[in-house]
Amino acid sequence: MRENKTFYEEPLIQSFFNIPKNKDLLLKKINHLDDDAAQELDVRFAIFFLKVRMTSYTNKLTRHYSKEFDKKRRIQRYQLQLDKPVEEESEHLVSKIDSNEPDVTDIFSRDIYDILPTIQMKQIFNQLSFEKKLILHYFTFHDLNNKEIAKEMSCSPQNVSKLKKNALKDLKGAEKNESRRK
Amino acid sequence: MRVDVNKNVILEEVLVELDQKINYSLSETLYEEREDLKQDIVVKLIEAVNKMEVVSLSTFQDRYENKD
Repeated sequence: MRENKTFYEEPLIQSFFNIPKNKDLLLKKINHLDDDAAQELDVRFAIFFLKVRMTSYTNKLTRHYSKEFDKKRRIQRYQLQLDKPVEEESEHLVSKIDSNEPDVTDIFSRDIYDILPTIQMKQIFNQLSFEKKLILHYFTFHDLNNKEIAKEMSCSPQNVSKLKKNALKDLKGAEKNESRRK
Repeated sequence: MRVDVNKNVILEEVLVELDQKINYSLSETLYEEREDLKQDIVVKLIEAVNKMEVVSLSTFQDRYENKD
Protein backbone atom coordinates (compact mmCIF):
# COMPACT_ATOMS: atom_id res chain seq x y z
CA MET A 1 0.00 0.00 0.00
CA ARG A 2 2.78 2.36 0.96
CA GLU A 3 4.54 1.65 -2.33
CA ASN A 4 1.38 2.58 -4.18
CA LYS A 5 1.19 5.90 -2.36
CA THR A 6 4.75 6.85 -3.39
CA PHE A 7 4.12 5.77 -6.96
CA TYR A 8 1.17 8.09 -7.37
CA GLU A 9 3.18 10.88 -5.80
CA GLU A 10 5.82 10.70 -8.51
CA PRO A 11 5.66 13.94 -10.51
CA LEU A 12 5.66 12.08 -13.80
CA ILE A 13 2.69 9.99 -12.68
CA GLN A 14 0.96 13.04 -11.22
CA SER A 15 1.36 14.91 -14.50
CA PHE A 16 -0.15 11.95 -16.30
CA PHE A 17 -3.16 11.72 -14.01
CA ASN A 18 -3.69 15.46 -13.99
CA ILE A 19 -5.16 14.89 -17.42
CA PRO A 20 -8.88 14.37 -16.64
CA LYS A 21 -9.42 11.55 -19.11
CA ASN A 22 -6.57 9.56 -17.58
CA LYS A 23 -7.93 10.09 -14.10
CA ASP A 24 -11.36 8.86 -15.23
CA LEU A 25 -9.85 5.75 -16.75
CA LEU A 26 -7.92 5.06 -13.57
CA LEU A 27 -11.08 5.27 -11.49
CA LYS A 28 -12.82 2.90 -13.87
CA LYS A 29 -9.89 0.53 -13.67
CA ILE A 30 -9.75 0.56 -9.88
CA ASN A 31 -13.42 0.80 -8.97
CA HIS A 32 -14.96 -1.29 -11.72
CA LEU A 33 -11.99 -3.52 -12.59
CA ASP A 34 -12.54 -2.36 -16.17
CA ASP A 35 -10.02 -4.17 -18.39
CA ASP A 36 -10.66 -1.92 -21.38
CA ALA A 37 -9.92 1.11 -19.26
CA ALA A 38 -6.75 -0.56 -18.00
CA GLN A 39 -5.60 -1.26 -21.52
CA GLU A 40 -6.38 2.25 -22.71
CA LEU A 41 -4.43 3.63 -19.78
CA ASP A 42 -1.47 1.46 -20.70
CA VAL A 43 -1.44 2.87 -24.22
CA ARG A 44 -2.02 6.46 -23.17
CA PHE A 45 0.79 6.29 -20.64
CA ALA A 46 3.17 4.71 -23.16
CA ILE A 47 2.53 7.66 -25.49
CA PHE A 48 2.79 10.20 -22.68
CA PHE A 49 6.02 8.77 -21.35
CA LEU A 50 7.59 8.58 -24.81
CA LYS A 51 6.65 12.19 -25.44
CA VAL A 52 8.22 13.30 -22.15
CA ARG A 53 11.45 11.49 -22.97
CA MET A 54 11.56 12.77 -26.53
CA THR A 55 10.99 16.34 -25.40
CA SER A 56 13.66 16.03 -22.75
CA TYR A 57 16.17 14.60 -25.20
CA THR A 58 15.37 17.21 -27.86
CA ASN A 59 15.99 19.98 -25.35
CA LYS A 60 19.31 18.42 -24.35
CA LEU A 61 20.36 18.00 -27.93
CA THR A 62 19.49 21.49 -29.12
CA ARG A 63 21.33 22.95 -26.17
CA HIS A 64 24.59 21.04 -26.60
CA TYR A 65 24.82 19.86 -30.18
CA SER A 66 24.78 23.26 -31.88
CA LYS A 67 27.98 24.21 -30.02
CA GLU A 68 29.74 20.99 -31.05
CA PHE A 69 28.57 21.43 -34.63
CA ASP A 70 29.91 24.99 -34.82
CA LYS A 71 33.26 23.89 -33.42
CA LYS A 72 33.58 21.12 -36.00
CA ARG A 73 32.64 23.38 -38.88
CA ARG A 74 35.08 26.05 -37.76
CA ILE A 75 37.90 23.52 -37.80
CA GLN A 76 36.88 22.31 -41.24
CA ARG A 77 36.67 25.82 -42.62
CA TYR A 78 40.16 26.78 -41.52
CA GLN A 79 41.84 23.50 -42.33
CA LEU A 80 44.92 23.85 -44.56
CA GLN A 81 44.78 22.39 -48.05
CA LEU A 82 47.60 20.01 -47.13
CA ASP A 83 46.55 16.46 -46.46
CA LYS A 84 46.58 16.81 -42.70
CA PRO A 85 44.07 14.78 -40.72
CA VAL A 86 42.05 16.87 -38.33
CA GLU A 87 42.53 15.73 -34.78
CA GLU A 88 39.26 14.55 -33.35
CA GLU A 89 38.60 15.97 -29.94
CA SER A 90 38.58 13.10 -27.49
CA GLU A 91 35.81 14.36 -25.31
CA HIS A 92 32.84 15.58 -27.30
CA LEU A 93 30.18 16.99 -25.13
CA VAL A 94 27.62 15.48 -27.44
CA SER A 95 29.02 11.99 -26.88
CA LYS A 96 28.27 12.48 -23.21
CA ILE A 97 24.62 13.03 -24.01
CA ASP A 98 23.27 9.67 -23.13
CA SER A 99 20.53 8.51 -25.39
CA ASN A 100 20.28 5.24 -23.51
CA GLU A 101 17.23 5.00 -21.36
CA PRO A 102 17.60 6.09 -17.76
CA ASP A 103 16.38 3.76 -15.11
CA VAL A 104 12.66 4.11 -15.62
CA THR A 105 11.97 3.70 -11.95
CA ASP A 106 14.06 6.74 -11.07
CA ILE A 107 12.62 9.08 -13.67
CA PHE A 108 11.94 11.87 -11.22
CA SER A 109 15.57 12.73 -10.46
CA ARG A 110 16.98 11.40 -13.72
CA ASP A 111 15.31 13.94 -15.99
CA ILE A 112 17.15 16.92 -14.49
CA TYR A 113 20.27 14.87 -13.72
CA ASP A 114 20.52 13.81 -17.36
CA ILE A 115 20.59 17.30 -18.76
CA LEU A 116 23.27 18.65 -16.41
CA PRO A 117 26.42 18.98 -18.49
CA THR A 118 29.19 18.33 -15.94
CA ILE A 119 29.92 15.66 -13.36
CA GLN A 120 30.30 18.36 -10.70
CA MET A 121 26.85 19.68 -11.37
CA LYS A 122 25.40 16.18 -11.29
CA GLN A 123 27.03 15.61 -7.90
CA ILE A 124 25.73 18.88 -6.53
CA PHE A 125 22.26 18.08 -7.85
CA ASN A 126 22.26 14.70 -6.11
CA GLN A 127 22.89 16.44 -2.81
CA LEU A 128 19.96 18.81 -3.15
CA SER A 129 16.93 18.23 -0.98
CA PHE A 130 13.84 16.52 -2.36
CA GLU A 131 11.97 19.85 -2.40
CA LYS A 132 14.66 21.60 -4.42
CA LYS A 133 14.79 18.78 -6.96
CA LEU A 134 11.03 18.83 -7.31
CA ILE A 135 10.99 22.59 -7.80
CA LEU A 136 13.66 22.34 -10.50
CA HIS A 137 11.66 19.59 -12.18
CA TYR A 138 8.44 21.60 -12.25
CA PHE A 139 10.30 24.72 -13.33
CA THR A 140 12.18 23.03 -16.16
CA PHE A 141 9.75 20.50 -17.59
CA HIS A 142 6.37 21.89 -16.70
CA ASP A 143 7.30 25.53 -17.03
CA LEU A 144 5.41 26.45 -13.87
CA ASN A 145 5.94 29.77 -12.15
CA ASN A 146 6.63 30.05 -8.40
CA LYS A 147 2.99 30.50 -7.54
CA GLU A 148 1.96 27.38 -9.46
CA ILE A 149 4.80 25.32 -7.97
CA ALA A 150 3.83 26.48 -4.48
CA LYS A 151 0.30 25.26 -5.12
CA GLU A 152 1.57 21.83 -6.25
CA MET A 153 3.77 21.54 -3.20
CA SER A 154 1.38 23.07 -0.68
CA CYS A 155 3.88 25.64 0.50
CA SER A 156 4.31 29.38 0.09
CA PRO A 157 5.57 31.00 -3.12
CA GLN A 158 8.22 32.74 -1.03
CA ASN A 159 9.52 29.36 0.06
CA VAL A 160 9.59 28.12 -3.53
CA SER A 161 11.45 31.26 -4.58
CA LYS A 162 14.00 30.80 -1.81
CA LEU A 163 14.57 27.10 -2.48
CA LYS A 164 14.77 27.59 -6.23
CA LYS A 165 17.22 30.45 -5.88
CA ASN A 166 19.45 28.40 -3.58
CA ALA A 167 19.32 25.33 -5.79
CA LEU A 168 20.28 27.32 -8.88
CA LYS A 169 22.99 29.10 -6.92
CA ASP A 170 24.46 25.76 -5.83
CA LEU A 171 24.45 24.45 -9.38
CA LYS A 172 25.98 27.64 -10.72
CA GLY A 173 28.68 27.35 -8.06
CA ALA A 174 29.61 23.98 -9.53
CA GLU A 175 29.74 25.47 -13.01
CA LYS A 176 31.97 28.32 -11.86
CA ASN A 177 34.43 25.94 -10.19
CA GLU A 178 34.48 23.88 -13.36
CA SER A 179 35.38 26.85 -15.58
CA ARG A 180 37.94 28.15 -13.08
CA ARG A 181 39.66 24.80 -13.25
CA LYS A 182 39.88 25.00 -17.06
CA MET B 1 1.23 -5.66 -20.91
CA ARG B 2 2.68 -5.08 -24.39
CA VAL B 3 1.39 -2.04 -26.24
CA ASP B 4 1.82 -0.86 -29.79
CA VAL B 5 2.42 2.79 -30.45
CA ASN B 6 3.74 4.68 -33.43
CA LYS B 7 6.85 6.41 -32.13
CA ASN B 8 7.32 8.42 -35.31
CA VAL B 9 3.95 10.09 -34.96
CA ILE B 10 4.85 11.13 -31.43
CA LEU B 11 8.24 12.41 -32.57
CA GLU B 12 6.56 14.48 -35.26
CA GLU B 13 4.34 16.10 -32.64
CA VAL B 14 7.34 16.85 -30.46
CA LEU B 15 9.25 18.38 -33.38
CA VAL B 16 6.32 20.63 -34.24
CA GLU B 17 5.93 21.77 -30.64
CA LEU B 18 9.63 22.40 -30.15
CA ASP B 19 10.26 23.85 -33.60
CA GLN B 20 10.75 27.38 -32.32
CA LYS B 21 13.15 26.20 -29.65
CA ILE B 22 15.17 24.23 -32.16
CA ASN B 23 15.31 27.20 -34.53
CA TYR B 24 16.50 29.40 -31.72
CA SER B 25 19.40 27.05 -31.04
CA LEU B 26 20.40 27.42 -34.69
CA SER B 27 20.63 31.19 -34.44
CA GLU B 28 24.28 31.16 -33.40
CA THR B 29 25.27 29.11 -36.42
CA LEU B 30 26.18 30.61 -39.78
CA TYR B 31 23.12 31.06 -41.91
CA GLU B 32 24.28 28.71 -44.65
CA GLU B 33 24.94 25.92 -42.15
CA ARG B 34 21.67 26.06 -40.26
CA GLU B 35 19.81 23.62 -42.46
CA ASP B 36 22.63 21.07 -42.06
CA LEU B 37 22.62 21.48 -38.31
CA LYS B 38 18.88 21.04 -38.11
CA GLN B 39 19.10 17.87 -40.18
CA ASP B 40 21.87 16.57 -37.93
CA ILE B 41 19.73 17.19 -34.88
CA VAL B 42 16.72 15.46 -36.39
CA VAL B 43 18.81 12.45 -37.43
CA LYS B 44 20.23 12.14 -33.92
CA LEU B 45 16.73 12.36 -32.53
CA ILE B 46 15.44 9.63 -34.79
CA GLU B 47 18.35 7.39 -33.77
CA ALA B 48 17.58 7.95 -30.11
CA VAL B 49 13.84 7.47 -30.56
CA ASN B 50 14.42 4.14 -32.30
CA LYS B 51 16.17 2.94 -29.17
CA MET B 52 13.45 4.17 -26.84
CA GLU B 53 11.50 1.43 -25.18
CA VAL B 54 7.71 1.55 -25.22
CA VAL B 55 6.66 1.25 -21.60
CA SER B 56 3.03 0.77 -20.59
CA LEU B 57 1.66 2.03 -17.31
CA SER B 58 1.44 -1.46 -15.82
CA THR B 59 5.02 -2.28 -16.79
CA PHE B 60 6.26 1.02 -15.40
CA GLN B 61 4.42 0.48 -12.15
CA ASP B 62 5.71 -3.09 -11.80
CA ARG B 63 9.28 -1.98 -12.30
CA TYR B 64 8.85 0.91 -9.93
CA GLU B 65 7.46 -1.25 -7.17
CA ASN B 66 9.91 -4.07 -7.67
CA LYS B 67 12.82 -1.69 -7.55
CA ASP B 68 12.56 -1.31 -3.77
